[in-house]
Amino acid sequence: MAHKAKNHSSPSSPEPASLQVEDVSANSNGPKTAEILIDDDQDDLFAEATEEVSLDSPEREPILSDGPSPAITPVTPTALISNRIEPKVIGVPSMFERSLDEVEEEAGGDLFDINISVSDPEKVGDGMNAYMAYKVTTKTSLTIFNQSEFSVKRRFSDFLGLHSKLASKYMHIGYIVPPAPEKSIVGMTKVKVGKEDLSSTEFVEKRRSALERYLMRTVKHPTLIQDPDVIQFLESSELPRAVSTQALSGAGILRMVNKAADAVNKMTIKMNESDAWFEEKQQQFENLDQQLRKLHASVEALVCHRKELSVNTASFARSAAMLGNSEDHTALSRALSQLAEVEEKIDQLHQEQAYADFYLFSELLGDYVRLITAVKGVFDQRMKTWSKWQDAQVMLQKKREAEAKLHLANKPDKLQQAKDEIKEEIEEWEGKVQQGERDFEQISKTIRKEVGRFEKERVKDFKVVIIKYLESLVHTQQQLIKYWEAFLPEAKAIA
Amino acid sequence: MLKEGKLFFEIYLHFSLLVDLNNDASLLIDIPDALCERDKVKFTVHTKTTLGTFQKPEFSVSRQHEDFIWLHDTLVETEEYAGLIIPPAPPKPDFESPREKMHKLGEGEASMTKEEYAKMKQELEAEYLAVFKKTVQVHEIFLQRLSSHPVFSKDRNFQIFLEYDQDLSVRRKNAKEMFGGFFKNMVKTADEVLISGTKEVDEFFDQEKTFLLDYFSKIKDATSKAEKMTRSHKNVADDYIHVSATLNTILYIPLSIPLSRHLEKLADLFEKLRKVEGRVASDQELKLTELLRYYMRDIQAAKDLLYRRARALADYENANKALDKARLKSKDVAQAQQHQQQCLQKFDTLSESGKKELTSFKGRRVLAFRKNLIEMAELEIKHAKSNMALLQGCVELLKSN
Repeated sequence: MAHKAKNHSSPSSPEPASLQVEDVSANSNGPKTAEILIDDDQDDLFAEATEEVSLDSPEREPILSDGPSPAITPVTPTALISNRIEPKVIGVPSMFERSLDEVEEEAGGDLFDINISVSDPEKVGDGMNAYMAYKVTTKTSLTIFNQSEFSVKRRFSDFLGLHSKLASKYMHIGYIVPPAPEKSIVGMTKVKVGKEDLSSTEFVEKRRSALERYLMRTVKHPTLIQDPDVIQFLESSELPRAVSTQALSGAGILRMVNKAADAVNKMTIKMNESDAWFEEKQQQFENLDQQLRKLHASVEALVCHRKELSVNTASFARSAAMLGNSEDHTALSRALSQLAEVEEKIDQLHQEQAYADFYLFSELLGDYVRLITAVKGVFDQRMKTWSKWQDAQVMLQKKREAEAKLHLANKPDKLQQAKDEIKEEIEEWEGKVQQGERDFEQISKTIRKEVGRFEKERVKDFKVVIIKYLESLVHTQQQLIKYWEAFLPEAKAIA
Repeated sequence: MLKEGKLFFEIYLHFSLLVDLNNDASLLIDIPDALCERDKVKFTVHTKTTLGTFQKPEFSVSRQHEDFIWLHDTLVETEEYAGLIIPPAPPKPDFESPREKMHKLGEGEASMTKEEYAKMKQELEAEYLAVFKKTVQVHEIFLQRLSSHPVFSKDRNFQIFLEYDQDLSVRRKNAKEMFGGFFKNMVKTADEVLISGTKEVDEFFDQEKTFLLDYFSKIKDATSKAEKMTRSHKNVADDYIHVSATLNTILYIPLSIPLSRHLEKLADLFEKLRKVEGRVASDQELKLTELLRYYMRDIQAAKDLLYRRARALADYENANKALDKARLKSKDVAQAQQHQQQCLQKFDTLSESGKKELTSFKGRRVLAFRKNLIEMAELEIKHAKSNMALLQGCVELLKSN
């Protein structure tokens, strides 16, 4: 389906990108700090890449998204050059992002070489103050890191702390920040109290796996991986303890975002969506959210039933063994005992398959559901930005009206002072209106790019995991064939 | 429908191999069709015979489940058959499970897509049909075991059952009044105690007693565990339906082309997988659960034989005591002696025929287990190979994109 993206009409004249880019760096501390890297590290991979990029390059657009070509405000090359010379004036993230994308595509993704593993969960401390420490190992050839292979110890609240920082820095300007795994009071309490049973082991494994996926998604984001908080998280041996992560948990942030979204909706801001792309995308994500939840529920049911099957098979195996013992015909007795052994092995198979069902398929879907919530959050941020812009316009209008009133009034002494004041205010609000528009354009641009990247990543992600899952199913069938083929002669031997 | 036909054939094949059917041309019985009205199933019992004892060479009658039970009960109550294993009565037609599932499906209809609902309904209809076919077969097997038995085939009530062209319900009522199911109930409650209580002199029967009592409880347990296992398998197959249906719904959302392609393949795969898994479940049920269930009932019938023999032994021992008493009192000695002789003879006949029956029963049982275990293993291998082909095909397609 081909869609035509309409350029939204901006009240102000099309400003050169340099201004726009400047302001972005002023707003957030993320891009600003990252810029230091360019100057410091001449070997920086990204710095080299930026020289080659022509922002008007026509190849850029198809790279960014499979969907309709985004309406990107044209950026003149001169702005870029001036950005490089002037260290402070850089919209670093967007620039690096584009170049990184292009580089990634050119090299077939080889240059984006980083792999994170979360392992060796270790209980630290006792009682209710105990916590699990996880080893986070990074293997990379990226030069933003000091070494090519290194490990640190982190606890769950550290991960939540990282996510909260990233969310507060990037979400309001349109970046899809991967959500952190959810907190679980019940699960963690069991571990703290020292319950060494199967469910607490499973809980720790589930969490470990989720933390690993979370980090991988975060570092695969070309902007986030450069964030100093991320680098510090991966590299530094000591990390300041994340305070009150209750409010800052991934779920907490999402709750805040959702509340904001609800507030926006409740204000009956019918945003004049002049951009069909956004309208369609929002609808798509809404539908996708619904269907993914349903799919997730179905797969969770599958996991449950597969576990039941495993339990029932084990139970039958025991019963068949008893029957075999009771059987007085020798050959049949032996065959029944063999049947019991086969069923016991099959019960193991079902159990392993249930793990694969869960860790590969179900958790993948769960992650997607949470990611889509983050995407929806970002769309809501755009609405907020739009509304802020509109509010500024309303205020400006009010001030202008006030100024007009003053001109008509007849109090000469106070008049000049009031006129000056109002003139100042008008200037202030004109600035805010311009800023509002720029912010809106920027966030729209960022979201388009993010969504494009997101969709591409999901396709890759999905394919890799699904193939793994299907291969687990293949393995199960292969084993079944092996077991039954071994049993067949036993059954035939019954005389 | 081809699918229906195949299912029918398979069930038929399965059950006909459960037991040694003579297929003696002198008396051929089958149930060519049946009607399901609400809860009542009406079986058409069709007989072809060369025996002169019947009025016509070929005829059909309509019978209900209760008629089969009546016939079984009369055989049980017949003294002359005390030394024989009476073929177990067919269980009552039980559509409870598919009916309950159909009800649940109706409740959940709103939360499913049209295709999903249609597929679930299709599965349930197949299940309903399978229950139906199974009950027809199990009633047919009952009659065929009688017709292939040298003694039972000549039973007068059996003949009436096959031939009487009117409703049997009147006759059934009379029978109930006569016996009141008394004997049957007694057997059910007292057999374990009586069988294990009597001292056994005969080594054969001693071994059989120990074996049958223990085996019965084990096979009963195995049957219920097998049932649970099969039901879990069916649940997994149903889950595949839901996964496939939801994947298909997602395809309606405009997504990137590669992602759509992946999802389409996956949806198609799960649709095919669920069919195979469904077959795995139903084959397991036929070859394993039904096998165990049938022989559980057969073992009960064998236990009943032991019980009757134990009763006869008790009667003989009582007759002995009565004879001694009579001799002491020198009163009615001849009468007591005659009674004692009768009891002894009854006991000896019972033991002789019982031994034969139990020996042939074991042979029958071992053969049936062999046949069905082989077939189950072969089917499991076949289905696993189909699954593997489907899965590997999909993996190849996904990798090649």
